[in-house]
Amino acid sequence: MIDNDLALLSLRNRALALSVCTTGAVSLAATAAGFTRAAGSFITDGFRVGMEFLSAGFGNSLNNGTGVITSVTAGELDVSMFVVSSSGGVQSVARHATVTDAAASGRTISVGLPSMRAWELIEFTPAAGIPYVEEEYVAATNQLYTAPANGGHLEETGLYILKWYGVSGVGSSALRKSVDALKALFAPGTNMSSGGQTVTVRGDFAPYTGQILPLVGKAVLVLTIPWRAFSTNAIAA
Amino acid sequence: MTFSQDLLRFSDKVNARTQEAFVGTCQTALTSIKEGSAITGSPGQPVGDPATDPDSENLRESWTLEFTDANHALISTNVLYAPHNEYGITEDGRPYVQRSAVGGRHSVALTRAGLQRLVDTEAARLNP
Repeated sequence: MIDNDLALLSLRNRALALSVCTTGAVSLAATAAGFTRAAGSFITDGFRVGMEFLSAGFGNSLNNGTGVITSVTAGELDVSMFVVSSSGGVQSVARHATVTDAAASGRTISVGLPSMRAWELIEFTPAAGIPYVEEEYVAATNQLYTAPANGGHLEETGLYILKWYGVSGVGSSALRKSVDALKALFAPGTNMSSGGQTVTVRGDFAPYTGQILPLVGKAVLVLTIPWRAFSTNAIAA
Repeated sequence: MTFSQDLLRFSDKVNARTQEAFVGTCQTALTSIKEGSAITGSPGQPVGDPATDPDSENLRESWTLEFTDANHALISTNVLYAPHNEYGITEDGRPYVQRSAVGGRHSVALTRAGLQRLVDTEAARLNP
């Protein structure tokens, strides 16, 4: 039978590889409101209000790190930077503005999986106005397909569920584009291996999202990823 | 009996069996969502202790099956908090805590994922 802990880790690692959108390494400047560019377009690159981003390569360290996009035009990204820290089991969020930084090449702004993640059975406290993702791993069925039983072919199925909590009041684009990118990462037939076993995204019942659910102060979009894994049945002596 | 009469009889039998399989699958799908199923792995709807919570069976009993025509059926609930239980999401985004030892989440998703197994099981029952 499969090792469900390894199966969960392989699914989670796949999600961690998510890239929703990126500027790539380009010439960017920073202002007190956010980031600007003289060439290319933040809109064309896929950035949307409400997305959490990661910026890197700026000379001033206050411009590097995580933040939430508050406004987007082709040449300007207005943002609110934040730093999450934890002390004595108490989590705190410190927000700050970007600072002026003259344009230079080799800088990147990218959007991936939110930095705040509620992994299974790990204590987690969300912060207002900051997106986060919550996972659930559901092992469902186990069936022996071949005879004899010992050494036979086992098929196990289940669900990996990712709930993406976004900022409310900014429209649906940030959530939809982010979760669509995540769904594409788990295309039917995708194989994820860990510890000698392989988990495969089902194609007969492929990954799906649903309606954005509005909550108090946030909204959530759920991605359900049906998976299957095969193993060899071993009967203990 | 002529060959064409035989074919007609066979055709009628297939149609009748197909309809039986359809109805049976819908009923087992409803049971999977409401009470759980070993075939789909669905845990069913959470149900508390009626002695302390008179509305504890409200969600489970709200699920209904309706045949909209000969080939389509609708399984649905009118309980507003049903999606919250299905996905494990609270109104204000706090961690979802299930208070019931019976039932669980994702019953609809697991029933959908296991639908072919329900069909296969029903077909095997009708054609032993």
